Amino acid sequence: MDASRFAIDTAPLQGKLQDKLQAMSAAGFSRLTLWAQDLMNEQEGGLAQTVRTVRHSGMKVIGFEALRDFEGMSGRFLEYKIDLAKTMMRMMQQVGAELLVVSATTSPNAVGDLETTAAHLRLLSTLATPLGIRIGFEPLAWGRYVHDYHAAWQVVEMVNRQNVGLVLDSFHLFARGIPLDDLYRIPMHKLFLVQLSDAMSDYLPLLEEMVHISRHQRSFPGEGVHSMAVVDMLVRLEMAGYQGNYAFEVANDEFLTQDAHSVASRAARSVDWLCRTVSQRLQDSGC
Amino acid sequence: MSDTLPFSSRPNPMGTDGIEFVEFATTDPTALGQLLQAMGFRCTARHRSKQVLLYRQGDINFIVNAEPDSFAQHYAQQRGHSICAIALRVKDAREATLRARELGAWEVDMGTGVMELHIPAFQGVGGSLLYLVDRYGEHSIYDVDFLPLNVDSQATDAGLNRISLLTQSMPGERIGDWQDFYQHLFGFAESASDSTADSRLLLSPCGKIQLRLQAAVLEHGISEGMTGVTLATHDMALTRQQLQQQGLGLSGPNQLVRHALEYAGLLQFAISKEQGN
Repeated sequence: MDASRFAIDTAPLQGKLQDKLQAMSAAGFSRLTLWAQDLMNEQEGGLAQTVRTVRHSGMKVIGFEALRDFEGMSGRFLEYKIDLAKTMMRMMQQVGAELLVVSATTSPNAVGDLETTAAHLRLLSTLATPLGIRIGFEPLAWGRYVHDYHAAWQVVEMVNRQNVGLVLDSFHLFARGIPLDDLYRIPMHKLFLVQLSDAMSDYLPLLEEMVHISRHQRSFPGEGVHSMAVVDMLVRLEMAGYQGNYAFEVANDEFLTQDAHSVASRAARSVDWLCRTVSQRLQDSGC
Repeated sequence: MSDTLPFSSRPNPMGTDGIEFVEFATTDPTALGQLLQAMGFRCTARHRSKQVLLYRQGDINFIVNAEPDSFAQHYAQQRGHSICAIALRVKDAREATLRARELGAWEVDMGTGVMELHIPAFQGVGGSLLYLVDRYGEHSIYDVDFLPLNVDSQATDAGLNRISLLTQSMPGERIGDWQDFYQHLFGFAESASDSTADSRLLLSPCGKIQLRLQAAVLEHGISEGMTGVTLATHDMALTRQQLQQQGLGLSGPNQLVRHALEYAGLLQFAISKEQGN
């Protein structure tokens, strides 16, 4: 496995954007996923300055996060969401980000019928086309209507646009105990990004617990109880022919009390461990 | 391809009805104007308030935009002589605009001057614009925004009568994105028999607009754009002769116009024989 396919998210790193990028780069990462709020930080000089910071870092932004609760809205809610999507796309264009992560809606205001969901994703697809942006639809464990990859793939298939694909996050799969047996059925060129993390605990019966652990207690693969499950997931994806990026989507409050360089180094060790373990497993199975 | 396109029965959700104009951005309107004149275009009008000229031949309208500090000027500074906008004729621009907005087309506010028509504009390929015009034929947009000029004596009609094809260039992996865009928004459909390994031909539901999506690597770090206009002639021999007299040759299977215009790497003209002649 090629380590350069692994990206890291800004969320687990402490400090200013520039420091985060330096820490990532120093730890050997050349790709990252970025949040809209990373760019809007006024204390860092506002958008123009943060865009320069990203551009000058030489790192590639492979994912932009996150457009939430978009599909299924109507009236002024939808109008507001479209404006927000446009704002994000303009930012993406400035930092050279190609993929907008759109997470499945959790909103009680959203309708769940497939036709509407597909129509709204097509709207994003059309908006994104002139800017060269792709749309990645991500099921969430606590999504209101779409909470596994089967349902998300059904949506993407129905949307039927080249620039709309899937984003999968290992946390959301494991949190619901969703079997990975059907992963290979997804055409791998329609899987635009795979986000990875480990977790400090496995049993997540309550939605609130799930959300809490997801937002505050994730860890890097190899550090928690999902380590071998992450390896299993990567082996399945690689065997199915996935050639896209992996991104560490790790939110952890404790990481924010630590130096960005040491956290980024932990992430790099995780990449190293994953590459070795997955390559070994692939070899063992004759690939 | 058959003479009559079997497209009259296809739904035409935007009410497309052909190409109204192609707009060129340039920092050297004299040089570009000379080339157009050599190709038989007459400069027939100028914009009321801007450094914008209208060139015409047959049913073809070319707009040459050299307005300082404008969108077109920035475009030309990046790309040289280039196509910065195309205008599609639609039956009802208001309805088409509402539909385009609803489906996710990116509306661009071009700022309308006093006494000028508002023409709805949407984001097109490579930062170019896509205008929707429902005022064409007897009452045109030029009646309002342009002042007629004395007939230009420098140009001799070269028999060109309409725009038969527009070429859009982009990296190969982007062709599908753009095909989806034109299909979804305008109801274009691929003519599979006219597609090749590295290009796809799309036809509008009205049958009057052909768009070739061409895989290409462009120069100067530009990744995509509208890069070619093919003009149909009713008399190929006449056109060839007229162009030759002006020092312009035709080359290759696509009859590309060979010219000496500098900074025009992203702009190509070609001639085709009118179907049905």
